[in-house]
Amino acid sequence: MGMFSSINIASSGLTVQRLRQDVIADNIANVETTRTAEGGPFRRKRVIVEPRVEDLYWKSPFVPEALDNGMGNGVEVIEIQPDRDAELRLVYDPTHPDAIKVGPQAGYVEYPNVNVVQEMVDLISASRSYDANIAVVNGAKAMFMKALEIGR
Amino acid sequence: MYSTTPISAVKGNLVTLQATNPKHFGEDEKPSEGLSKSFGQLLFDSLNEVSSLQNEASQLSVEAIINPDEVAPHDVTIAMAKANMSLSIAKNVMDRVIQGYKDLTNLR
Repeated sequence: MGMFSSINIASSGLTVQRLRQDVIADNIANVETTRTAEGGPFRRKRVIVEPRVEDLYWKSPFVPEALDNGMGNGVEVIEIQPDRDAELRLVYDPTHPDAIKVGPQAGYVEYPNVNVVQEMVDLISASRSYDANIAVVNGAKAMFMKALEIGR
Repeated sequence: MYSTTPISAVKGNLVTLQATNPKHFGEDEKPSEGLSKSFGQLLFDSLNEVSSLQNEASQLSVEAIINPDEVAPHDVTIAMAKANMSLSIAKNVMDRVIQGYKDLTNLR
């Protein structure tokens, strides 16, 4: 509960939203990538975030209330994982060098499972969350400046 | 519940920054002891803190110019905001101390 605690928390949120924006930029840039180092087309990446806590982060009935951390310390990214759930896009293009050669899907090319519309929505969401965190920083600073006027 | 330091024990220009009102801390939480530094030491420490925050801000802004790929813009502006805030609180404390000193010198 220092002078800068809410600013530090909002700053962690800003960092996470910027990373989300970077990941979205990567997804949009790779919308047509049909081959990657690990084989197969590019898969869209998603960001997994977790609250940042000091020591213990579980709520157990055996943990006494005094050990509970109370307020958190912001947010942090734990993983950027490839999305293997969404279906890959299949486009019929037999002349493409990455087209499937044999089987019932012969002649089809697997394109990444990036949906540009969804990425744009995520981009707007990241941008708005960034704005919200900046509003928190500005609010904390305005509050601090008001506190300096106590007893003037 | 708590006995505050008796008046006779106070020597010199000691500043104690501790909550003495029981409403301001929990049942089993003691107010921190030993926060009594001399005012000069307190001022010196806080000025060091202000200076380190300013150094951090200027270092980050230099880095943002020479190596913009590695520095996030919000880190720079937040470091600047922190330096600004700590400088304002230091200035505020100074102003009030000087005001108190002037009030005393003007006693006649």
